[in-house]
Amino acid sequence: MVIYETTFHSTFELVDEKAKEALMLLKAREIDWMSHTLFKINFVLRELLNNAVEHGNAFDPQKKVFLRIESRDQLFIFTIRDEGSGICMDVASSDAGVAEKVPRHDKTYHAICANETLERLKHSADETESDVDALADRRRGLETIRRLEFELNITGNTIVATLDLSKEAMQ
Amino acid sequence: MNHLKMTIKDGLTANNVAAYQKEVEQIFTEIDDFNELILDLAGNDNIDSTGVTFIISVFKRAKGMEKHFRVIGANADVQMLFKLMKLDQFFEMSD
Repeated sequence: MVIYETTFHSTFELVDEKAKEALMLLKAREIDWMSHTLFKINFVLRELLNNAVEHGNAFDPQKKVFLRIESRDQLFIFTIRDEGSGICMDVASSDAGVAEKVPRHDKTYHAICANETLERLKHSADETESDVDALADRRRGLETIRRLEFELNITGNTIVATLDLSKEAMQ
Repeated sequence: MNHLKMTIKDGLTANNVAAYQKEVEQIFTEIDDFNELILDLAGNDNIDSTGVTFIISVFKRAKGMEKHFRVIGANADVQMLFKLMKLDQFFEMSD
């Protein structure tokens, strides 16, 4: 069942607005939400939408971000698509057992995939300090999403994040 | 100890961080008569990784100027997030 679907221009202000709308609709459902779960959804949703605005669409106001939230039994599925150039797929192993599909030619995600260190990047001739900062942000965001137990799948310019509520209940 | 408290009233999210950065810049350039900077997150559960990066940058700036730094008013979920990101190893957090 589709709970929420929207398309919006690439600004952080609209990410904030859409994330708030989405959370309001989720809260309105007849589910005994734990505040912890809603907090996690809010964080992950914002992370992925911000990523689409900043890295996918490069803040181009003419490019749009698509968001759909669906529920299937105990699964909540968040689909985010941007108008970036698209991304190759690669699969990185994860110590949490989550299948992370990592874009190959997106510099920041590729760095995560290749397990490069920030120190190494700092010495790379074609990396600026802001590149390193951006990498730190992306690395932190992706790692955190994984630790919050969302499954991530990336296909082209579409990211699907899935949360299994049945696992949440066991925490 | 003289302390200075900065209260985060709106979400600690990407759309607000630029304004907070200006505020912090003003604090560090115009005020010197304090030993500790306190970031008050009370009532705030909207946070994203840009917000987390902002907190890290303030902590680093404070440390570089030999000021103490701590976060107060963070709810249980925000504290959980900071612990997950291992930020509790760097600065103090309290309710």
